[in-house]
Amino acid sequence: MYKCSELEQFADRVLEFTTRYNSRNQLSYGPGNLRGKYTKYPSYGDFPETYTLRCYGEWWKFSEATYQKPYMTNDVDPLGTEDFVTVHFNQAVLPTKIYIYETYTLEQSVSCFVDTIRLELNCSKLDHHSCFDAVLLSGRPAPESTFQLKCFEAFGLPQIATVTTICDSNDTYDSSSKRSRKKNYFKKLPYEVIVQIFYFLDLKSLCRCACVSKQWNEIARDSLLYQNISLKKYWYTVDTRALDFLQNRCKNLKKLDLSWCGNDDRNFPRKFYEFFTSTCQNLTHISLGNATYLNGSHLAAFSRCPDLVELRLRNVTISDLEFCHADTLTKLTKLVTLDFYSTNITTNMLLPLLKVNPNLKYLNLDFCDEIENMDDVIEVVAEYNKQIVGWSSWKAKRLSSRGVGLLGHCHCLEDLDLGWGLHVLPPENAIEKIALGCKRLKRLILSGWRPLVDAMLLPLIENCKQLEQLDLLSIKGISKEFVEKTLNELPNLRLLELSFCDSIPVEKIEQWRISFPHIKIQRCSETE
Amino acid sequence: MHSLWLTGRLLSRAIWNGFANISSAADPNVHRKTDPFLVSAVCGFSKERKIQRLIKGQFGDDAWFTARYKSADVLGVADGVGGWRAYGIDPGEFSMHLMKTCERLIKLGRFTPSNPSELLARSYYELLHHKKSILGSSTACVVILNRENSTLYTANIGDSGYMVVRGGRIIHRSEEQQHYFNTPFQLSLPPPGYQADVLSDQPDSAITDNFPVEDGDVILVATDGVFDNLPQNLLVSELTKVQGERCASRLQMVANSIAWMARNLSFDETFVSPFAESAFANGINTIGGKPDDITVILATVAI
Amino acid sequence: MPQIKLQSSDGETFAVDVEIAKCSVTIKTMLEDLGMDEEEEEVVPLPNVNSAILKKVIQWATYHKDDPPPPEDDENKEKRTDDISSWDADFLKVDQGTLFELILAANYLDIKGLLDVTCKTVANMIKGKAPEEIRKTFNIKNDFTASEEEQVRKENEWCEEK
Repeated sequence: MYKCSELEQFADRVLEFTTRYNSRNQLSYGPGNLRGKYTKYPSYGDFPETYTLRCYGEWWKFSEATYQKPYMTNDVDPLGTEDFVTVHFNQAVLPTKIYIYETYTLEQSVSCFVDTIRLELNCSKLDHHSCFDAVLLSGRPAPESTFQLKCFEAFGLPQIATVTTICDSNDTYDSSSKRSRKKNYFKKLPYEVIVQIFYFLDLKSLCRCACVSKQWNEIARDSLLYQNISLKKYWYTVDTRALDFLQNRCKNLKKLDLSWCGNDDRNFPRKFYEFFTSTCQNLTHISLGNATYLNGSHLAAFSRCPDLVELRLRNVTISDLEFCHADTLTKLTKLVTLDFYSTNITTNMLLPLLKVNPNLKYLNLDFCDEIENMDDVIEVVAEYNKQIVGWSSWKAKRLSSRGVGLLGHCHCLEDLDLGWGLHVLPPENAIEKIALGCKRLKRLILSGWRPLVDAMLLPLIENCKQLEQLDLLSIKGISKEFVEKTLNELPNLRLLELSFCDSIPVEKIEQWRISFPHIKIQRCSETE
Repeated sequence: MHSLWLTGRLLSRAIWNGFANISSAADPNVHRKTDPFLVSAVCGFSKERKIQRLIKGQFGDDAWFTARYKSADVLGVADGVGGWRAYGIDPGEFSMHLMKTCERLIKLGRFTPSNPSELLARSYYELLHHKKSILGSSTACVVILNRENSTLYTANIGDSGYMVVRGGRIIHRSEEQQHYFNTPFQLSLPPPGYQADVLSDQPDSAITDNFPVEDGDVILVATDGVFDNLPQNLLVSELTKVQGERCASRLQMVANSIAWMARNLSFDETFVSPFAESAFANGINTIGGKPDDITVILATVAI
Repeated sequence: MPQIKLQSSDGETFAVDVEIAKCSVTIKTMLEDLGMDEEEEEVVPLPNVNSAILKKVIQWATYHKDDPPPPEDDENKEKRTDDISSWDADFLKVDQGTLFELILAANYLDIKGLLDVTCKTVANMIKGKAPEEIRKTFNIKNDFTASEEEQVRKENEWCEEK
């Protein structure tokens, strides 16, 4: 073991991330704020100079447009990782310490490479947004580049402690098996019963089972066990070999989640294409979050899945989208869920797809900066997607009161996220149109709609009695009388977001929290 | 006597403010001799005579910053529009955040050295997306020295401005943008319900300019508190004193004296100030200085 | 409450409430298809289940008699294994022989809930173990040749931490 003095360094680049608060080209709240030394720490509060996450708690999981139900319930991540951010450091070291400077609430974090650290985040237990200021990596510098590999091994990754819930009974088994002369009880079980048992195993356990014996090997390959596959949890190890492995087994693939995978492997895009085209006939669900390698030919491949109901391409920039034909995806006509969160999808591509999918229920267009005019999209949705239940267009570009008003034609809407949609333009009577048209609304996000005042919001309170979550973050024009009315007259209300609503005094909030204990009244600010 | 002591203390703190800044700008390790760079000093006063919180980067409702990134040295001032006080809005907040955001954008390299108006626009759009809603309006002036081609790029909205002096003569100065007398162009984020009533100019309405500079050129970037109270000839003669000056502390002394003079004249009720002359030209009969917040950034080009 | 008698392979009979016995789809179909009259207290022979196991099955079914029926579609079935109730966990603290007999009985009697929970229990015994540990736990013989084993290992090693 060589000895060397400790080196402390702050992150110099942010490589990859899954979530953010603000648009790509903006600095405030962006992941870029993780670079360099901390600027706000040890101040406590929600500052634009930090990297702020969008979601907290379990509230957002109500939104199917945003939250993806796990495809593989027998292989869930025990860490509950929902998001990550990967930061790079100037010099590779053998890590000894990692400091994460936060200005708001605490996170879970795991996993480290050498000059690159990925912080895996699980915000579901949090009460607030969390804000990171900087990441400091401390460690001994690596003497040569080959050393990196070793470190990689040493710091492998989340020591995934596979849960063995009833391990205490192991003793019983062991001792009893000694008594009852060792016997292989599996021999007595019929094939389909063993498959039943293997049904409950995660992929890693299945791989290990395949190595046990010839009988086990045969059963562990059964395509029945590979109908719903989620490799997101294994992102750090998935490469072309993993796809080779799966390709032989996935004869009846229905749901496929390859999010976060394959970005470090040059051959992955080609292999993925081969894998996909050979296994995709029966696919109903695809999720490829952060798949940076996707291009137009992959899109064309998706259209070979006639039964597809869910397509999620979060944080994806399709490299040659401008050369794709607008009809590339229009063979998909059974879609229920479309998630284009932070992609470069264009109006040209999107509108024809919406027009042929009358069953569409959930649509996520957050951070879609290439959609020049959100009003045009809403116009099409209001006409062709009458079943729409969940709509999300956080930080939409060019959304006007005309477009918002048209959402009033979507009578099935329950979940509407229009955060930062009309932060400058006058809302006119757009909210009233929604209130009159969407009486089933349960969740409404109006964060950052600065021009809103009481009178514009009142129709909501009078008409949308189902409301459970209402987000009015950063709206200065509301009065405490209005908030009181909201609390009193919405019987199902559970979450009221009033952060940065400066016109509402903190003392009032405290009072309401006591009088309405069943409602979570959220209030954060830059300083607390 | 009492008030003099107070202003004296204000002055010393203001000078200290300026100094803290120069030392970083003139760090000899940062640039090689061949690269042009700016030596700068800052001084200013709040219009209020009573002691106020002194925050770096702020004099009353005025705000300023100096920053550097790779091949660019940047100076900027902004003057928060005071009318917002009646609506319970601190007029200094908008200008302060506008300048601070410019500074952060520069430090992270998120700007084009030849496009200061884009920098102002970005900063403005960042403010639009702050969770904390920052309301108010402000004039702004940003100048960037692109050290690669020794060219100064400027953007100006409203009646703050800059002036470049070489050999005792003004070679460039900003144009004032006014909607009408005493109502400058301004970037604004009005409170809810007032959108229609508020003058709001888009960031792209900034007047931009660019011109080469030479070694020794003196650059003054200041708010209207300076230009409204100090006659141009007085300014030119002060600036000429530091032609080619590379010593930051001597630059600081001149910056102090400009700010000091502007402040004294602004409270002089008999002085025919540039402001009074302009008022007279607009048919308003008034005399004396115009009490206002004062910010002076003084810089020399060193090549 | 009407009862029926269940007879184990070793000839012992157990009187059980009909409603409880009907949680076994096999018994339920027998009663319906064969037109067995509930009143007659006929004996249902269960030649594949011995008395010790049948007793446990009845114990389990009695405790779970008020459970909601399990969802029909396998498609969206929750496949977690960390949701075994503490009663079930205690109930299944038995030797391996009994556990596997229970699985077979549940499979034969077609009791979905019991089959699931017993299979989950075995799955939990497999999880987190290396192949050799699995062989040890279940007394399985490694019947791969050296070269076969090498190939199988290679094929499946992708998901091991590097």
